[in-house]
Amino acid sequence: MDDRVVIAALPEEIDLANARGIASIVAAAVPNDAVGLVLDLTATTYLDSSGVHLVFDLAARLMARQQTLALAVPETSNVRRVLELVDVTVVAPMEPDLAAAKERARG
Amino acid sequence: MAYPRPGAAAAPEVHALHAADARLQHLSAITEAALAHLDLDDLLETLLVRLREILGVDTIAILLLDPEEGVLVARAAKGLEEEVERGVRIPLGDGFAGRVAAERRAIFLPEVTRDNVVNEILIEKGVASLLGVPMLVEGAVLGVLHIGSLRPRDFSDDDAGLLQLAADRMALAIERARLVHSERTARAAAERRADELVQLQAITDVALGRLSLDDEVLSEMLERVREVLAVDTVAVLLVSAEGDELVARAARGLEEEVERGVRIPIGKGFAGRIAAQREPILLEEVKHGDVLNPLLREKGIRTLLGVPLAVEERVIGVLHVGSFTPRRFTPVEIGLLERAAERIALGVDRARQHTIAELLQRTLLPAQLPQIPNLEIAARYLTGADDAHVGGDWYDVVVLPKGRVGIAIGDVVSRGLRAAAVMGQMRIALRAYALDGDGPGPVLDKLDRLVRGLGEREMATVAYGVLDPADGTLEIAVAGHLPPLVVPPSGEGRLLECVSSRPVGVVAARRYESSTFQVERGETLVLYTDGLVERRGTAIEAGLRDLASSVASLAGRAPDELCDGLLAAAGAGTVADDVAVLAVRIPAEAAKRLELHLAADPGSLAVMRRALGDWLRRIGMDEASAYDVMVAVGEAAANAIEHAYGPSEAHFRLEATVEDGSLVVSVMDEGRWRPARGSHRGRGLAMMEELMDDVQVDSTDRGTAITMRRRIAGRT
Repeated sequence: MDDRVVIAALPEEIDLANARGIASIVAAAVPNDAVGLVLDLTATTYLDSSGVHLVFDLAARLMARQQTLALAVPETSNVRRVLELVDVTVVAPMEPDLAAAKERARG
Repeated sequence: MAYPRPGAAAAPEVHALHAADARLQHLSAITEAALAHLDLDDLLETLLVRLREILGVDTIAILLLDPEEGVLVARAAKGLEEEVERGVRIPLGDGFAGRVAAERRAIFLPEVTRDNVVNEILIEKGVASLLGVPMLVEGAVLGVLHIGSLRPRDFSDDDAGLLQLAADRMALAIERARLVHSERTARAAAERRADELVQLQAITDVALGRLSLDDEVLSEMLERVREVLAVDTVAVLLVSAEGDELVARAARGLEEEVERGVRIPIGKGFAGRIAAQREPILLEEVKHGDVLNPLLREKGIRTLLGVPLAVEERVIGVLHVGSFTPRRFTPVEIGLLERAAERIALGVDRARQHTIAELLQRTLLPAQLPQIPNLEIAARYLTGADDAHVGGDWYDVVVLPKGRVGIAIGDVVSRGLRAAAVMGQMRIALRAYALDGDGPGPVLDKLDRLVRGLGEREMATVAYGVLDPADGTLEIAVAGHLPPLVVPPSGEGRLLECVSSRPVGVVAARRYESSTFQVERGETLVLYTDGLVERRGTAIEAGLRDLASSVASLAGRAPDELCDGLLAAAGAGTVADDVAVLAVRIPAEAAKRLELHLAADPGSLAVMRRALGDWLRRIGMDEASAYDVMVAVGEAAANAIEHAYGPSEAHFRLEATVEDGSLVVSVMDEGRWRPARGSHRGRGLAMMEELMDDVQVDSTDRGTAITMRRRIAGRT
């Protein structure tokens, strides 16, 4: 299937304690033949710079494999503010829900 | 000549005797009075002087029978003092006195010759005539009383009767004096013995009452043994951990033994043989080959007595005493040493068990209570005064998701080492079930299954509750445990009436149910074990009522002080049972200042966010601003954690206050600020600056402090 998108549902809180582990699990879960990856942050209420780093890190890896990355972040989420602060949209589009993010990931 | 038979002397048929008897009245008075306060020698002296006067004779002497040797020994005399001085001894049956005693009758010698006396002194003194009578008590010969005249004299029947009467009375007096003396001696000996036992008991009981048989107590016990047995040296050697040697543990008069760390192979030498043979050994004359320890010879110990220290047939060491002069040990003394050994062995063994159990207990209890946002927590565990009552009581505090906290207390029914071990397993298991996200009821269900599965026939009472500090909701399940106590800021405490159920580990039955309560701000929830309320002779219900009412005097105290106050009131440490107390208070109002001291570990971040978030809410910061602060502070903390320094456990501190309408938060660590390494950490600092009004980084050799400010909206 050439439109396959992997969806990673991220936990409520992402910080130094789990960010690295999440990055490697998610990276390993994306096969070479997948079109793209969606990070589902709809349940996430806290994200710090290690979480931001996680997003940028995954974006860089996917870019090297010519795969796409999209984020699902609700409009009202506190997480959105942090991601906007670091201008995350330069590496991945932010969509308000999972369906929209999936569409974006498919390209 | 017909002389009255002994014992018939007082018969009234010889009327002349009445007169003689009258003469004896004051003699009799003397004897009665004398007995009360004179010792035997003074008594005899007095009686002889009096009697010589009354009878008008030149000499008077008493010889007492030594029944073991079968000889008469001169004991007291007047006019014949040399007899006593020279210690004249007349064999029973020989000579004059010997015949009187052997034939148990009065004998009159009108003419003393070398043929009818054996005592040279009588001849030397020129005694011409002698009259002697046996001294009898209940038919047994006690001795002989004889009188003599330097001029030939024909003693009358009256004289004989009178002498016999006097002899009878004196015999009685002597007998009574002897009885008094021997009774006094026996009583003194018994009292001394009892005293020794009391002394020994007192010292050893003190030792047994102590929590640990430290060197001081042991040494004190040895000193007492040394005093009681009047010996010069005392030493205790204990079997080594490997079990093949005895190691000197404590000594008196032989301190070098311990200093030099003397080790004796079991089976060899004096102490080694006692341990191997499990029997007392007495060396009345210490010889070179008998002892292995050169110290015993160096010190010049002449006599050694040693006994094994045993606990339930198991030899744990040797106790020995020594004397610098040759001496004998009576069976009683050997017995005394054995009893001392029993007590010392028991003390040593209990102290060891107690130490191990206490160590295990302390290891198995939480080393440190977690810091939980908006919750003040304190806990105490005290071992019982009775050595046998160590282990079994435990408590735990578990940090649960969403800011909730699991609190547990339990009491394993058995005691000692095994209880401490079971307690450790239960605590960890409960912690695991709690972290799995189970509620109080299911946690106890699982714990119950676990304990029943241990195959230890062990049971335990447990209370496990989940408290939400944000709203004070407490959900708690109780397995045979005492009801939780809630202490308000003032007034009496209230006991929470939970759904009660069986202890865990007993039998598979219905599920454990939880009850829900409300703990208000400012109130303290107290979980405790029965050591806090159990008093001898008091029903547990009365103890609980007392606890609830008496806690009023501690109301309003911080959990730390409350725990101490409760333990003090219960006389903890002096009661037999061990005690655990866990107190948790939801503070009445937001502290003006938030201070956290956390491990430099990524796991601390969530704890910190919880505490900070709750505090920010309570100081009136809006949610969006609070989130910004949390992210910024999180970055500062993550930085502190990332350059946590060295292999040892590091910490960081967070301090937050409100100054002039602004929030001021500082995150301090003991490491050096590390400049941005890659874009990631640099991003962190950039985020802090974006989110806060002001960020300052102060880095010194001692550590780094990041101080951030943010205006609180709606305040000026």
